[in-house]
Amino acid sequence: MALTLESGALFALLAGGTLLLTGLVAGGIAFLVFNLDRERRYVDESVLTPAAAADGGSVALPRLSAVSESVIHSGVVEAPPSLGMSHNKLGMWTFLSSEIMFFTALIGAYVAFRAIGDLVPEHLNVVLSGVGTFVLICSSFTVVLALDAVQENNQQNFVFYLLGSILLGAAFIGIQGYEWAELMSHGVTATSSLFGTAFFVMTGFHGLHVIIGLVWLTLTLLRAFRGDFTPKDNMGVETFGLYWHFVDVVWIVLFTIIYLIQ
Amino acid sequence: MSDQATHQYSGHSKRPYTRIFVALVAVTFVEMLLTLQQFIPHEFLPIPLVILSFAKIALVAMYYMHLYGDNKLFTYMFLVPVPFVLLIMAALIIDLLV
Repeated sequence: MALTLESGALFALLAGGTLLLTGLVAGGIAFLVFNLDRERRYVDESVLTPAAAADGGSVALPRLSAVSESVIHSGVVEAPPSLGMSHNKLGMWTFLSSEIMFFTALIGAYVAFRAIGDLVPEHLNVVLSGVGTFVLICSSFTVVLALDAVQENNQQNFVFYLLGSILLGAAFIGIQGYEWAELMSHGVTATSSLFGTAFFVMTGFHGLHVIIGLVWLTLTLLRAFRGDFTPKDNMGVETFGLYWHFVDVVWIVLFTIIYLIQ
Repeated sequence: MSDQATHQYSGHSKRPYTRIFVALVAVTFVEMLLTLQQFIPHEFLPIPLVILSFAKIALVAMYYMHLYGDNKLFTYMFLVPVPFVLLIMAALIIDLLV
C-alpha cells in the first residue's frame, strides 16, 4: 500500500527511527569493542602480584617499560591500545559510522521521493550554496593544515589555522541562515511541502553538526592556547578533524542532490 | 597498518593537502558550471554530477580523513553502512510504487 506523504510525517518518522537505530548500533559496537579490550588489558593483575614484587620486579619492570611514553600521563599508567589503533580514533570512526547511516538514510529517502516525482525543489539559490560549499571546503583545508602545523610543532600556525576554521565555519552557518530566510520569504517552510520538510530536516541536521563542530573547534582552540597539543600528543586535533571532514563530506552530497540535480 | 597515517607527509606535508584543496575547488566549479550552463541535456546531468560528487568524497576521505594508508578497519567502517541505506531506498521506492 502506498504511503501518504501530505505532511511529511513519514520523513520525520524515518529520521527519528534512523536516529534510534543508529544509536543502538553504535552503542552495541562500543559495548563489544570496549569489553573485548578490557579482557586484553596489557598491564594485568598478574604483573602486580606479591610474587612478582618479591622477584625484585624482574617480571613487572620489563612489562611496564614496554608501555609507550605516550600513554603515561600524570603518573597514571594506561593500557596501550590492544587493537593496535588509538581508542579515540576507533571511537570516532564508530560514531561516524552511525552518522553515515543516519545521513544516508535521510538522503536515501529524499532521492526516493524525488525519483517518484513527489518532491519538487523550489526557489533554490545554486550560486549562494556554491559559495557555501567553497567556504566549507576551505574550512576542511584549514583544519587539516592545523593538524599538520601541530605535528610540525608550529604552534603559531596551529592557532592561526584553528581561528581561520572557526571563522569559515561561522561564515557557512551565516550563508545557510541567509538562505533559510530567503526560502521562508518565498513561502517555503518545514511544513509547506514535502520538499520544505526534506530540505529543512537535512540542512538543519547538517547545520546542527556544523554548530557542534564550531563549539568543539573553539574548545580545541582554547586547549591550543594552553599548549595542550604537541607533535607527539595531538590525537584530540586529529579526532576533531575526522568529525569536521565528515561534515564536509555530508555537505558535498547534500549540495549535489539538493542544489545541483534539480 | 600504522595508526600514524597522518605523519606520513611530515617534512613536505602541505603539498598533498594543497593539491587536494585545489582539486576539490576545481571539481565544485565544474559541477556548478554543468548545472548553470546546461552543457549536458537535463535528463543526463545527474550522471556526471554524481560521479564528480563521489570523486570529491573519495579525495576528502582518503587524504583529509587519512583513510589512505591508515588501518583498513576504518575504511570498512566508512563503507559498511552504505548497503543498508541502499536497501532502505529500494524498499521505500518499491513501497511507494506499489
